[in-house]
Amino acid sequence: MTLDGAPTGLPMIVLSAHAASISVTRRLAEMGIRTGVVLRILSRTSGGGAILAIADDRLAVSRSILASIQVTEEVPAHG
Amino acid sequence: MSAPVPLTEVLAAVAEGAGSADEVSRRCGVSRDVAETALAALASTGRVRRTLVFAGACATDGCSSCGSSGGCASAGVGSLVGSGLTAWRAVPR
Amino acid sequence: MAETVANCHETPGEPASPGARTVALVGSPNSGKSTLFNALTGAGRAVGNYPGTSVEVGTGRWADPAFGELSLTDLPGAYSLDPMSPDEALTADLLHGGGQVDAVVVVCDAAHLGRSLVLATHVRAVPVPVVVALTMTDVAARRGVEVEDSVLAERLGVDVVRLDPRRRNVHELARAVSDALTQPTAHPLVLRPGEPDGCMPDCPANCTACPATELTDLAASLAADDDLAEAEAVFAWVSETTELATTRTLDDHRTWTDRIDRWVTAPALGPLVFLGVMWAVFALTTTVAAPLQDVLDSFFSGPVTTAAITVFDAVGLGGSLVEGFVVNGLIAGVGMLLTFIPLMAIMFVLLAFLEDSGYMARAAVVTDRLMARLGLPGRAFLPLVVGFGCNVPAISAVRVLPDARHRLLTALLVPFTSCSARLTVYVMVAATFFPANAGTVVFAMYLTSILLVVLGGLLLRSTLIRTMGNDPLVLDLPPYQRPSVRMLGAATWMRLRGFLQTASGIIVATVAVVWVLGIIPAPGTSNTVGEVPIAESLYAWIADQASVLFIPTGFAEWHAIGALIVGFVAKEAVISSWAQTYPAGADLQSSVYADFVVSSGGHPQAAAAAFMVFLLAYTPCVATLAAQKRQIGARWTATGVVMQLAMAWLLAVAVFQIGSAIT
Repeated sequence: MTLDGAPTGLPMIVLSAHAASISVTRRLAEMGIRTGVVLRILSRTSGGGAILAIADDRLAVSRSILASIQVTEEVPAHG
Repeated sequence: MSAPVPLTEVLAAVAEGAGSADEVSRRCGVSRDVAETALAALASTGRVRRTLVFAGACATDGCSSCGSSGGCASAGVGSLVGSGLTAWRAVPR
Repeated sequence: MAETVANCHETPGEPASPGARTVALVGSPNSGKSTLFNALTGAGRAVGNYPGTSVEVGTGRWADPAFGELSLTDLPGAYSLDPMSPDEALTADLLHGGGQVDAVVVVCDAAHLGRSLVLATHVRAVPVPVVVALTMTDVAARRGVEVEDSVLAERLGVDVVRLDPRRRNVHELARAVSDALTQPTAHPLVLRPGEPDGCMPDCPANCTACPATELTDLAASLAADDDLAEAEAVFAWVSETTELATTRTLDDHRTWTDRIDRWVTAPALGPLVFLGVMWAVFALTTTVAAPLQDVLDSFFSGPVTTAAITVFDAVGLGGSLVEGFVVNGLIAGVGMLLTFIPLMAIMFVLLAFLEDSGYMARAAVVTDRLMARLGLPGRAFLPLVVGFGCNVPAISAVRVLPDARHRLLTALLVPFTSCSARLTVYVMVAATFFPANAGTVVFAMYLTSILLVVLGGLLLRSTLIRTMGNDPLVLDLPPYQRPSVRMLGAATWMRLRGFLQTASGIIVATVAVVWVLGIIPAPGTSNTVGEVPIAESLYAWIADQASVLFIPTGFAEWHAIGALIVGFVAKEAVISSWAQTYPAGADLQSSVYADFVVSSGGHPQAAAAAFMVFLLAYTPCVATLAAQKRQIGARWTATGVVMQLAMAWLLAVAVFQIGSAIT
């Protein structure tokens, strides 16, 4: 699913992060949003954006960014 | 004994434009503390330096080129642009 | 922005006796070094340049039963001993130049241990007694980080004293320093690849006591690049030390920030909070500053002016042109500027508080949505916010926008942000015409400013700058923090000083020009130069001609128009030149009020509002034009000027016509 439809609070693993333009995609990677990274949606902001938690960092992103990040729920490891 | 990240990678990140420990930490995939330490180690041997990096002519010409020499200070630009008007820059060899 | 403004010239304490041993205090900026220095030396800190250098150092006397007394030298904050920086070169010199310093106390910040240890390893490479003072352990604890001083001590090979922020166990530090001074110096810590050097002078050739650490083959492959190899060695050792000496406890230590953000960036509440915060800034600024300004004002128009007149009388220049220039021009002008210090200081402090606390980033998030909806790029928030301080650097700050069209649009909109110089005029006019609601009126001007930015944006986007790319928001939110009072003070002083420096130059220059124009008779009058009533001067004549254009605005009278003409050059000079056009000793506010009553046909408040709107919207100053020309070229700058003047005039007319109809 894409992040804009993801539930709040649950840890998600990023499958891919490709924005409309290359420069934005690169910026996402620079900010830490890359394949394999675990993040959570903390809260929603106006206009459909959200605040993401990546480890100790907090990122505020707009809705179009959320729509360009593919994620899946992280399944906690057992054993 | 090995380091969390090769300093050449940190140096490359700074050369590509990462100007703060936060940016380095994201680009290199390490924690902020590690990034800070790496930058300090590089700075201690003169490979990177904190420089003034303002988006104006003053970056190259200095304050005399500005039409309003006190305007910059009065706007308090420093504290507005993230961690100050300074950023880490790689020192060219 | 760290140490340069920390020149607190407190009462100098007694220096240590000439024969006392010297201990140097080193550490990174913001590591608690200065606080420690003050705690050790009492309030006495003599600040001066280290002889032969331009580097400022503090010295003081540290007395303790453990060693009697020592001379403590606070060396400038350092990340390393990089010889390229004069501050750090001095520190390096003092430490390497044997005998100048008897011992070194390295301040290590537990909350930023890695960084502090890098400096510590460089200090430890020198054969000098060292003691480590571990600070900020409480800050580290709050971040869930616990440092084992014994591990640190073992790795570094020297004593580590954990400083208790509350108990202030400086005596423990004193004992450690005393031990370091009396016991044999620890061998230097050598991390460089290759032969261990820096060994003690009297060590035999194959000394095995020096703890030259083993290094990886990395050293060999980087043999050609000594600096990088050395940095790698230091980094590896520090990383391992930090790993060994640190235990993490808490995991989620940003809950407070997250909780606050939930509300502050919420869809409906966020913008309200933002507006509320901004309103509070302006209300506080105007209400707290007003009485202070009155005191300063009466000081300058009273005792200072009287004293000046007395002096002129005494030297026989009473009533002369020179006296007129100095008393009515310079003293009035500069005095007026100084009365704005309380206003500026309070506003700068509040804005610095908002930035330092981390709120500004949230404000950027909240306004991003609004900006997107209004067709403005989200990142334009930064230059626009800068513009509220001063338009000139804001134009330059436009370069943070990656898209050229965004840069052009933002550069054209920056002039509509109401800078701090314009604020001085609002405060005067609001106090004169709306005494009961001055704060709110000023706030309304800022809201109008935002409105103009939005309107200007819509206008430009629908006509000249049609196509616009997207600028999605990806913004880092730092955790909220309590702003340090010292930082706030330093930031405020820096801004205040900048404002005063710029403004005083401009004011003196325009006072001179206005004064000259004021003593030249207007064409068609018969006065001689120098004996011209201001109303019959060339200045008044020019302003009068121009005022014809302003009849529909309600403030078409030459004093006000003249002030606006001066304002085209620089807004900082508006009030002083306005005051210059009235007879000496006249009260500016009541004079202006009386003139507006006449020019507005009995609707002075509507005219005052129109005046403020015009002031807000028209060209900020020639310095801004210069910056714009450099950023977007002459053609677009000229377009901007036309836009500004047109919008200013239309709005002023509209405000007056509607205002006078309803009052």
